[in-house]
Amino acid sequence: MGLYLRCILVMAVVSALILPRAARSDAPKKAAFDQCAVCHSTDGSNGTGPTLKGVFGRQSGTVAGFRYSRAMRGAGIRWDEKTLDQYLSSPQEFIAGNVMPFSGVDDPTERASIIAYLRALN
Amino acid sequence: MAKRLPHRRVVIVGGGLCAALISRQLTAQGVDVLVLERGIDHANGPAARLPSQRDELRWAQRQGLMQNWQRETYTLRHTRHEESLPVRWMGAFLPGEGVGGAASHWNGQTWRWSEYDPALRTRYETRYGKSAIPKEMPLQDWGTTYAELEPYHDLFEKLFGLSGKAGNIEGLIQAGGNPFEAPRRDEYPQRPLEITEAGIIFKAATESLGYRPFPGPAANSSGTYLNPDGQRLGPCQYCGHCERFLCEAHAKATPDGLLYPLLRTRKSFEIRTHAQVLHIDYDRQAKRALGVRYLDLESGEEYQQPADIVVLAAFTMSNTRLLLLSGIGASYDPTARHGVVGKNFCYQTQSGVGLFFRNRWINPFLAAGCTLTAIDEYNNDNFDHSALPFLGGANISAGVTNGRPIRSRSTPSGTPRWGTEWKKANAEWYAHSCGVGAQGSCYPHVENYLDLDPVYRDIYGLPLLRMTFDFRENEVKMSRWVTEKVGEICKAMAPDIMGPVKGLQGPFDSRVYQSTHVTGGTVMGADPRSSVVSTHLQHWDAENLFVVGASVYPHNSGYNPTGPLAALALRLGDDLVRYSSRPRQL
Repeated sequence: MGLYLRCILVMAVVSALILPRAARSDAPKKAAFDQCAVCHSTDGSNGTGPTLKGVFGRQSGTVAGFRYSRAMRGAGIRWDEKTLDQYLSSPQEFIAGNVMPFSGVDDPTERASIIAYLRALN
Repeated sequence: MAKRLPHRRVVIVGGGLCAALISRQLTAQGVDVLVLERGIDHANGPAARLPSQRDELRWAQRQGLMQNWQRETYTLRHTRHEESLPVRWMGAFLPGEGVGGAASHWNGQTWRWSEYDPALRTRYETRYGKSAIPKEMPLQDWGTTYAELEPYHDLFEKLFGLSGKAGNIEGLIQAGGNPFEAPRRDEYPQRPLEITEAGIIFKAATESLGYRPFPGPAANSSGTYLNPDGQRLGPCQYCGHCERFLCEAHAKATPDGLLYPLLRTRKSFEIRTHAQVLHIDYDRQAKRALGVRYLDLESGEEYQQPADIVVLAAFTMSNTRLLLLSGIGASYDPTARHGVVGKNFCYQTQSGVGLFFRNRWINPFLAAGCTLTAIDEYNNDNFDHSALPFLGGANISAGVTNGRPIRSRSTPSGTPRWGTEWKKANAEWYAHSCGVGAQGSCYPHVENYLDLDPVYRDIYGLPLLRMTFDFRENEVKMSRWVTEKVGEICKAMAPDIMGPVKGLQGPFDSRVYQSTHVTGGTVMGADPRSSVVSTHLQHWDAENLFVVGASVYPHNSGYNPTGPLAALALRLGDDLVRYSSRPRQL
């Protein structure tokens, strides 16, 4: 094989490794997250809601510079797969009095998509 | 002594919906735009954050996001033969104040108007004969057509993620939509909102009577939406705090939510808040606007802002007032029937019947701004007026918009207004009542107009705008007739208790909220003798001055006015791009 063709092959293999496989498998997760993206960024900036960058493993109500409700500040919860699933299925039931204006996600698969997306943000 | 500022290409007065749409078109082509808004940016304040966002007393009752009546109000008289008096507290309509204007706290009801509305005079004359239009009703064609505006209606709906069901796609009537709607190229961007219990009852009753009900078109997002500019809307939470509030879920489509954040990223765009425009500097000889003079409400400094192009987008009342204060164009005089600025001032003819259902859970608190189901059989000229003593009609609908503790106190007629019996009736009927409403057209009358008050002034020393207005014979007759149709529908809904069936009558009561749909004052048209601006919204007496908003409507239709004015604003934006590169009569 000529040098040129060998280079192309190497580049093709390398780019197959570098190109995020996440581009394919992330698609459903991102779509589920769209409903959250209106208020929550993933880049560290706060808006209507606190940024969800680094939320996995984070203590609830602790993003610097965001004005949480008293309920969220005092909840004392560590966000993981289980607590996120409970919260997202019914935010008001899980942390009564919090002010996230969202009634929850009924579908467990959709919730799992969102949670997987959030985990991947870390 | 006003301080003179560096010159700008385009200055837009009023930081609301129209300014945002025009700016979107202009800044996309790199044209320099400065927007001057008298209010503040509410985006990070108490109106935009829970729990203060839901303070009904502050925002809904005390009008926290609206015009400050202590600074500037309107005077009112019902006829020319009365003395006008200042309205100390305006309940009837609610001009916005702040970035986004009234469209930041609106309900979101958005219609395209009837296909024939822009050529209404021709329509009525053709169908019923020239003598069908009373002499005192100066209906006039707009000089533009629905077909010309359709692409802009389409763009606006996509920018604002409208939720609804199409009734007419390119001439093909669609089941479940409005069979009377003007033909559209596409379905709505999003599916309709939830129907609600009130809608279910109304739908069954109207269908049994042979009508064709449809969901009201809504600038409330039914799902998650990404607009063509990459701006987002979240799903409506049906929180019942829509009109008069900012939306906590980013579900209400607003200029401050969807347009201004984008505009602020563009280099050629600037918005100055707390900038109260007092005057348009006008060269009468050259027939040109030179710029505007404004007051910085924070510092108290007065500024002269020169501009190549001036656009008035400050709501019906301020648009008209600024022209009058600046002496641009002749003020309308009803005696001589001379002058154009201030004429064709219209409002909206509202009526309704209250219903009480013992066994149906209406739950009015589960509501968005546009959770209504409507029929259009008796709107505008959708029905035969040959044997009727009026023109126009109304959109009839049932729904809920809120169940808030101060406002939602529907009790049957005869209930005492306080005490034990009142409390019992509240508990008994709160979750079980709704209304069927008729939102009717309001056609112009030679005696309904705006001009400057000879006595009263605002806090800056400038004459207040005077409304000479009442609901006249045509509207009273139309309302009586349409409300009877409402009554028939109500009977078919089989309520346990039904309120009185009464059309709207004068005198116009400024204490009672009747929608913010005041229109006219700077009407558009093909003839400078009967219009203030051309069909391209260009002022006949100042080539570089443009006016947009419902102030350019020669009449008001049986619909909320926002749809066509948004389309006109987008089209004006494109026209101004052309004008900016080659100034001329468009």
